[in-house]
Amino acid sequence: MISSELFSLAESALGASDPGDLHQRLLDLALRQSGAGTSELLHKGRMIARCTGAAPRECVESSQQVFHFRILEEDWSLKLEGGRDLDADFVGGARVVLQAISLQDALKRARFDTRFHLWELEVIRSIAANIKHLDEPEKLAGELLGHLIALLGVRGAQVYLGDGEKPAAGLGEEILSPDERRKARDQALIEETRMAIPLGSTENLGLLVLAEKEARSGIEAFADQDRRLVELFALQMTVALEYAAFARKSLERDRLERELQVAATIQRHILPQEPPKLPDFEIVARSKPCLHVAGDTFDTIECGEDLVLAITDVSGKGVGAGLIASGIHAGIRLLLGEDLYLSDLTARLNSYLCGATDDNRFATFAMARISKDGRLWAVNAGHCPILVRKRNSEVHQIVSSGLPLGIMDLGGYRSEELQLENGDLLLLYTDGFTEAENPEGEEFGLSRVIETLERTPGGAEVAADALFNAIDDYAEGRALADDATLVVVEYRG
Amino acid sequence: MNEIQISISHELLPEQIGLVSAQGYINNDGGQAVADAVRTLMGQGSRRILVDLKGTTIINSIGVSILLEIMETLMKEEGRLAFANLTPTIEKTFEIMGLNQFASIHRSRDEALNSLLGR
Repeated sequence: MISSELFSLAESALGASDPGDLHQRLLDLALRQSGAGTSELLHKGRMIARCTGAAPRECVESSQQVFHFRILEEDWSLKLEGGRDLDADFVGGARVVLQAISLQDALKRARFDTRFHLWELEVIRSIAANIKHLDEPEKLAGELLGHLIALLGVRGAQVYLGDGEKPAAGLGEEILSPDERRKARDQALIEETRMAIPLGSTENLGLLVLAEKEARSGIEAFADQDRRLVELFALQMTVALEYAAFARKSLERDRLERELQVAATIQRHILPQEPPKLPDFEIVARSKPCLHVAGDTFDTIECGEDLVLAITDVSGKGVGAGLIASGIHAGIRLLLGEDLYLSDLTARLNSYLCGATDDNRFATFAMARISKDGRLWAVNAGHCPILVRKRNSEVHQIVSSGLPLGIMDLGGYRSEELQLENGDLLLLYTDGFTEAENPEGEEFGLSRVIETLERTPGGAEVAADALFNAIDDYAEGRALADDATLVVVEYRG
Repeated sequence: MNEIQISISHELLPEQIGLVSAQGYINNDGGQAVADAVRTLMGQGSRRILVDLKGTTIINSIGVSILLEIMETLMKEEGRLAFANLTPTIEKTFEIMGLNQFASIHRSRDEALNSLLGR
């Protein structure tokens, strides 16, 4: 019985059978029922199955029967060439079969769509959970682009980072010309088969380009929901790239911080930890740097029975200044072994520094040597005046006799000589003292340094305390703009 | 830059195991190429098919739907389908899209072959 076969067919359709096979079986039943020559099934006007029977040619050409069905908002037609008229029961049964096939197909599509939405959600989740290539933006962009290609089903995709002209990641040939890319970085490009979305919320971080969305029948236009998905991904990429840039900057800051700490440690170890203990001298050396690595450095060296003191202030601040200052003091220690006059030693340091600095850095420098019997030799290369406070509080200045080190290799530094007496005080210091500012922006100045020395009787320790307290009081709690360093020696011979 | 072209090969192994190796983008064209290879192997009598996706990093929704059809065709013939060498992303996609319900997923080709041979 044909009707029982129709019911069996409908039952099969509600199972998970191949619809292509079901279409063919329906057409075969129609042929057998009508004795027609051919039967065809049309879906939305397009033939999707055809069956040929054994009816005579004249019969085929004699008549045509077409039955139209509207199932789940879609048009279906059953077309027969020749044969007997199909009765209403068969046509009703055929409708049930087609409904069953359509329902099964719709159910399958709905299941696929539901799973596809789960896939979309999983991708969004995995992007958020696995942004693991923060230090490799190309890898990060490639990973995100791979997800988007998969979900959108495009044949071409590229992501450009920053102003880059070459894609950081991509699939297929480049979609946009350089000129089109330039325009798309300012204004998103939305076309039927091409899309380009700029990346970056406040600055240009790159460009996301996609083209040719696939369909089973070829290429189809991007739908609104595709555009929304691309925009969502562009936002994800922007967040990831901005976060990556932030993390890189933060890492760089940490690295610099560590380098500064290492440089500061090295500098502390190059410079004397403790001044030498000599019976004829009370020595105090202190520095108050305004950055981790000081541009100011000092040295106190025992040289036979003599005491050698040096102080340097390199222009600029930070690691570069600190390294130059440390280099000068290493040079002093080496050159002291050659038993040079201070003026010659200073000239040699100047020659060295003129060839060693490639920018406009220079260093002011002052150095003194005191023998056991109180003879003082001192040289000043562009530095603050060396001060000698006599026992009667009178202050003598040893001013600069040449350019700071590192400017021009002219030499010609002059060494001054003085005789110290018991209780005399020698002060080497940097411009952190003279240039300390009060809240009104006025500098402390050399005269206040001298006044402080004059009105503070006592030894090296007392003088050092007085000077640091004086500039702190003067600045009224404001931070120093420059390093402040001093070396004070009281001669007790 | 990834190439859109897929590189595909197939062979019939002992005991009628069909092996398809696909490397590249599994989209419409790539999926059809895999389906053609499976059909050829089924034509040679194979009902146990191993699809090795080593070197495949992206599969799109059309590629997934074609693989689902391959799976259905094999199920109708009471055959078996196994996948090997999936990237973690593709494996997750297969799980979500239901490809792991009737096809088995394996880390290596050998593991998949042993499974198809019932070892």
